[in-house]
Amino acid sequence: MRALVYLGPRRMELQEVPDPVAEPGEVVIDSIVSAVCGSDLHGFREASSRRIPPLVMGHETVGRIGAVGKGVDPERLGQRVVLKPILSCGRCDACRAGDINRCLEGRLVGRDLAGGFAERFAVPAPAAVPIPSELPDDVAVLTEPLANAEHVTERAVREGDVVFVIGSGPIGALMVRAAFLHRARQVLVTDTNPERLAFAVAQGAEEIPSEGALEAVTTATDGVGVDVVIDAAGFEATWALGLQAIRPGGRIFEIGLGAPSGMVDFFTVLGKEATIAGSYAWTDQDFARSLELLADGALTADGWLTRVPLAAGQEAFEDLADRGRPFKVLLELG
Amino acid sequence: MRAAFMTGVDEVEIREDTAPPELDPAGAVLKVEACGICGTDARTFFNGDPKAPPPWQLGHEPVGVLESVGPDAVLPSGVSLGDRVFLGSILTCGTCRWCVEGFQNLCERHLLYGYDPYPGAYAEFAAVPPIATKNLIGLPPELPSDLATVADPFACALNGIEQLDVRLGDGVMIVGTGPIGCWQAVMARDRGAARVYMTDVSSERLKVATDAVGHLIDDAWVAGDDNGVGELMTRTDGTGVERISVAAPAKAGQQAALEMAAKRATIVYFAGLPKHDPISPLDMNELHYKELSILGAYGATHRQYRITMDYLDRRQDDLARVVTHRFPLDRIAEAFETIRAGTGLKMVILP
Repeated sequence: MRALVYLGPRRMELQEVPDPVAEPGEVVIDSIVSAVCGSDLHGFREASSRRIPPLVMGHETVGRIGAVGKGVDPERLGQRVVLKPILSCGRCDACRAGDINRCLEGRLVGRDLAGGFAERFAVPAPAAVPIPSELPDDVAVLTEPLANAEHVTERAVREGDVVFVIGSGPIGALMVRAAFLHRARQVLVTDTNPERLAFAVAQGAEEIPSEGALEAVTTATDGVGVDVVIDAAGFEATWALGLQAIRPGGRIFEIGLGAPSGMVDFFTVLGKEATIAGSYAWTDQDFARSLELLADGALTADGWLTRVPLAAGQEAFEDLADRGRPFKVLLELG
Repeated sequence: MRAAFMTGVDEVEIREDTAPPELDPAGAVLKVEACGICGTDARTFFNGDPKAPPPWQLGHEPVGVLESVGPDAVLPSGVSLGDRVFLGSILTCGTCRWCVEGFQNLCERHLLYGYDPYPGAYAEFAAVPPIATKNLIGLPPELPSDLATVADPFACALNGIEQLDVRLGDGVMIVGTGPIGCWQAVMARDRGAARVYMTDVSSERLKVATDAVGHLIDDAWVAGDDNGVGELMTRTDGTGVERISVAAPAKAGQQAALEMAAKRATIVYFAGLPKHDPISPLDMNELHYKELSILGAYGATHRQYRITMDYLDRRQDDLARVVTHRFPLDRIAEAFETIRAGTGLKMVILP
């Protein structure tokens, strides 16, 4: 079968590799489409300690069950599924409290084992989640990224909040939608790339230009500041902007992978009694709710996805890494 | 091995030549050190239960040493062969929505250890079926086995207190002074309640309770004709208290709690009502005009079991007083009689 193999920073190669086998308790997913996530891109751009080459990345995948291992219901053959890519131990305290994203032995498909940028890949059966027949591939493939947004906004946003989303990639745009679903009153959004900003604005957010962003936020909130910042960029400059933009008592949620460390003005943190929280992935609950929301038609993502054949994967990664476009790439596999 | 069998309603028999449990390849076997008697065991013994077809081996609050572990058994992190462990009795599927969200107490398919098809632990050895291995919890080395058997009801009491959300400075009323009420009084105090009161309809049970935890509470009285409301009102200048736990299976106590509540108070109905008579007449205008919150509590989650072990270890001097009686296995009938007489709180069998 064909697979797009990550060989090192900025190097992807289409290779012929052996077909996977469904071990006991596993299924083989025949991929239909796999979307590229910002974290895959992060791996592509620079050597990452979490993505060790050679690796088949990809954790946002819709496919069909092509083989079942021993102990898996054979009725599942042919079932259309979305990949739920966190594999957790299921027996540590975090797992048993429902926080599978905090599992110490947790693994991610497409990072710790071969993932969806291949025609086929094997995963434990519960990681292949059946999807309603009327839900199109192009929508179901957003289950995983929407679950990320759900995980943040479910904690971050309360009724009537003013929310400021920094970074308007697909995750930022999903945050805008999810913030409204959690009854935010007003959502502001900024990005240095005006093309990307348009997608978040289409979800109902107010545009804040990246030049003079703080002044624009101040004006938009009558000098009060925002209740919540969701930072889907994650650079020193966006941490500072978020901290300046919140009202006293405000909350900042970090989900961007821009920079690992840098300066933060902690006098402002304590002076404003700010809360800064991190967010990593999602729980089973978030994933299930995300799938339900998509099935209910809660998200309109017109024009988000650009379909690219697997063979053009390297170029697609380069475009995303260097030019921030297209908005979200969908690799065609099936 | 020696084991106690319930051979009929109110009948128990000690058998010396019972075959020890077989090791399931995916299960384990415990050498039982202690096993508590739960109110459910007592009800089963006094009334019979279709899930305990005689002759039946009861006992679902066991502490013991992991004597053998099957080759395919999946044990929780940190638990291994030879460890002293507690076995949580609520057997959960681990896959339903409530299990994966961390509310194992609300599992859609839960079963109870010690009831058909899983014989209990009033015996020298007890089987740990595959479904129960995830319920094994390691014990802190300094925590005595007899006290550790109370982990089950203690964790449930903790669930009730978490629902009650006692805050620093609250006035707390505990209605019903069995083991649950006593532990909740201790927990309320530990959470910084300014005043903790207890009441019970039985003066004997109240006496036993105040002997056990009286040094940690402010006052206690017999419920009497007005179900204890008047006594509370004189102690609070007529305002009532912010937090009330009803740890008694009594409609009168549920109604009294509404009257004892201060405005915006929270009430937890911890105890269930008898299954044949579950409808309670309550003055809902108390709820309406005082903006009360009424919550339920049932069982305990895995997280609460974990907290329980540390809690029992740390506060064992105060909490151990609630274990009032210990009996060897061959005197288990006496333990049931003591429960019937109401002269003790928590009984533990030491096989």
